[in-house]
Amino acid sequence: MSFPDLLIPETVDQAVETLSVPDRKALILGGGTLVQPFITLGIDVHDVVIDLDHLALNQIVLENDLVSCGAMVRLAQLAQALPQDYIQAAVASISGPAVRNLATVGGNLFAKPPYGDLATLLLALDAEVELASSKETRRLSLNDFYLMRDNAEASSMKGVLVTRIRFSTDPARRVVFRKMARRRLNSGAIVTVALSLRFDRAIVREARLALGGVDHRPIRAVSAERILTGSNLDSEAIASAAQAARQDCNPQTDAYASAWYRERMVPVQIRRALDSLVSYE
Amino acid sequence: MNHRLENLLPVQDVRLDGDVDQKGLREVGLSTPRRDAISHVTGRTVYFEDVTFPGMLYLKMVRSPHHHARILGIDFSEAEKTPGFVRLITYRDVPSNYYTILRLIGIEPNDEPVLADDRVVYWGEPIAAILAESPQAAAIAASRVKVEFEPLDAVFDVEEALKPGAPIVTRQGFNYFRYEGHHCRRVRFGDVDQGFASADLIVERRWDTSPIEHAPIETTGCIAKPNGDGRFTVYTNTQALYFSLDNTALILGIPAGRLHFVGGTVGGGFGGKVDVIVEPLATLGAMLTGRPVKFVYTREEEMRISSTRAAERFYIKDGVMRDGRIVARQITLYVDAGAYSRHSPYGTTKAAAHMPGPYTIPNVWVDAHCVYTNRQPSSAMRGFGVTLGDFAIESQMDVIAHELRIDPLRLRLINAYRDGDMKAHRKRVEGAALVEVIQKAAELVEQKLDPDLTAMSSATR
Amino acid sequence: MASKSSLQHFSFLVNRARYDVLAPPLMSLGEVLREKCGLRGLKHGCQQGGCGACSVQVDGQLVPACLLPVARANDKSIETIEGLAQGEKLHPIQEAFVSCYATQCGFCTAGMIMATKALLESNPSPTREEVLVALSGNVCRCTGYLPIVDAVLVAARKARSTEPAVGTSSPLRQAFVAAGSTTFSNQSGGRAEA
Repeated sequence: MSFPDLLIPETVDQAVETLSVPDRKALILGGGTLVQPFITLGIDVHDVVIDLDHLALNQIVLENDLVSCGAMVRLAQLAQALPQDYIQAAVASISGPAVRNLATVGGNLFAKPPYGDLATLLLALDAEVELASSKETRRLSLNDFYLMRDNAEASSMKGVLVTRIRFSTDPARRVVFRKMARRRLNSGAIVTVALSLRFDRAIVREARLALGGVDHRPIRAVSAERILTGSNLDSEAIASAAQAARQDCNPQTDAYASAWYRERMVPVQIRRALDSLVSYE
Repeated sequence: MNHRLENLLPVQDVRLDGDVDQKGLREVGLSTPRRDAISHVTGRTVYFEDVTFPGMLYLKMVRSPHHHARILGIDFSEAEKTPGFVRLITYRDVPSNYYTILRLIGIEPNDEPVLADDRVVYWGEPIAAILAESPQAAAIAASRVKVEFEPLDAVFDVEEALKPGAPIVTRQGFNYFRYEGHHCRRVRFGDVDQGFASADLIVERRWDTSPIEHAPIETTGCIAKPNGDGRFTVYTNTQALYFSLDNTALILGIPAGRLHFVGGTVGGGFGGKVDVIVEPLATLGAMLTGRPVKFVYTREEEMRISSTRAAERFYIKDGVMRDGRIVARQITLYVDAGAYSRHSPYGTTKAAAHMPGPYTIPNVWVDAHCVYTNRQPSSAMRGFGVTLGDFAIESQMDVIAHELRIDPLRLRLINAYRDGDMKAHRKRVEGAALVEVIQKAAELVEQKLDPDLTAMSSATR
Repeated sequence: MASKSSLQHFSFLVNRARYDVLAPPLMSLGEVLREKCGLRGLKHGCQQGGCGACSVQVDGQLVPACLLPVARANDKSIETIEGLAQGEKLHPIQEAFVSCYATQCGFCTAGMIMATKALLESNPSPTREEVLVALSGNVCRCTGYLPIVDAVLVAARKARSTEPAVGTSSPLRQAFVAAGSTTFSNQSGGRAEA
């Protein structure tokens, strides 16, 4: 009576079928780190909870530079499998070790600010999500998935399950992850910056700049990306891109920081992320 | 820099065996294991929530989502239909619906209802209590209570609250605590205007602090159990066991002898568990249902609703001489009590008495206001009334030192009070040691003091 | 597909003893261990995985018991604070917490010790920074953390072979200094570089 029913599908098909049942408020249980508190505290009560732990979505497959990650892969598991410093930095910035043993890659895509730091990095890496529904299985970029969710009716997203996340760890990309938080460890984001650049000699051929903590979900700072692309990362380009990113943001006020402060920290953190690449060279 | 611990202690060594007798001392200077350490590290320490009883009910509070509002009506019908719902409690069920914290230390009026009747004056103010068979059922039922409000204007700043036309938070019609008919605590010593006129330099600053939440790892709570013989045993983590017992007896209108309070094991208090907030209602719940009742704050309630250290604001104006003597100090300070008094009127009195700091200043003028706003009621926290005053005073001293281009230690040593000096609130200084402590501290951090400063003592100016 | 509602039977080991409970599948492991198994050493500080006071080990992994629904603990091997001491004989981590004054109110202690145990089982010689990271999910409001970090380093050192102590003073202080303690030594920092 005080707890919702727990449904445990054994296949992805069963899972999407049960998610699609109309007129029923279903909560998805991935790692549990974001949803178990609501269940325990009797807040925002759902009719049923759907457990994703028996769908064999907990495998990581590495093929050359391509990572194929089941949605139920735990953050600690990801950090053990992938040595790249930006992966290590992003995972280490999230909560504490005990939570990282439970929290999942898929779950982080849905974590609301000031959380969602791995999702921010994945956005900058041009990650792709695989979606299962009763109609079809399809792949789209994480960015397109987020845009789809922004614009879709809630009912059309019902019955859609993220099963897999794919991304590249191509060493030709220069990737920087940087999280500004009140404490050094176990602290929500004030501003998170994830930057991925491809160079042609000294010129930026492709720029991806993702920001976390500055909107209702991780976003791409496309105004900044436009300035960076084709630039040689001189101080003018950096300053200009950093400022331009402000218009892409819509920060919120929470216990960690005000919207006012976040907006002003965006160009500072972007500039520092870009500066760190330049000094490396 | 070498700061080995043994250099700081008067003893040569630190041992655990306790057999050392240093000048007749059997505890000072020795390492003694904490008595409760073994119990803590084995998980055997019993906190209030580690006790349980069959048939226990869980209390969840319905709270105000508004900072200031009139209550027009409450609909409990959906809540009552929730599986596991047992009973609700409103202000009509509370025999004496006012917390009596101040009355017990001789200060009136009692201004804080146990449960709101016709209005609420802070976000989170308790309105009704729901009792249910499980914590989840209680939370779900509480979320289904519908309260109709008429929102009112709210005020959140101490100086705004004192301006004419500000929303009035209290039932008395004004937003400050009245001290024997006065609008603030006042300290008057000498003549500050003359002092300022004779000064070489005036230094004027404003200092502000925010409320601070104690955030103990164990949240506030208790379990009240009917013994079946008309007496109740209450297991609680309050820091003020007898205070809580007396308050509960007064609120429930029963003789204190019918209450047995068990406690003293607190998972962090820091002054945040002195407000007697949960025991009266849990005990009333046990009285009304005949079953044990647990009332424990969630982490959100602990952070957002439980009392905090008060925010304070200080305006300090000093008249100083080039040689570092402070000849006049004028302080206006405001304590933000939030929506209700609790311990703030007492804290503000302490603040006033603590001014102008440990310094002998011939002309002192202090106005210390205890102000009500529509914020979370503040209360005790580690030296409340005093510690924030020191932040403001010492920060001001550093500013003065900077402006005068004087060593900050010299500035303090010159002005430090000596034995026999008269303090601004008319007490004589006794047993002062500020000069010696500064000298010793300087020695330990290897900061050399000028000879005239090392020659100073608290015995003479 | 299994559909589970109301009470259900779950079975797991706790400290090598078998427990069989009847519970709603979505009741947290923390609530089950405390209310149905009588194991109240773990504490609930937040019910959100933010404070670490409920930390336990599930199949050796450190986990906040408040975030794991009991359904996912079925058939697992769980370790709690109650499993460390053998009667009156304390586990070395517990001894270190006592000798280093790493407790005050005690409410965070069980979680801190379980986090320490999980750390030392995977990394017997942690650096100070590794200790800070391993305990970063555990909040303490009383001690200021330094005595706790000292206790972890002392426990780690004691678990390894005895090494010559540094310094001429008491065994207690020698242990602190040798373990890289900054509470009682003059080493710079005490906060790792950001």
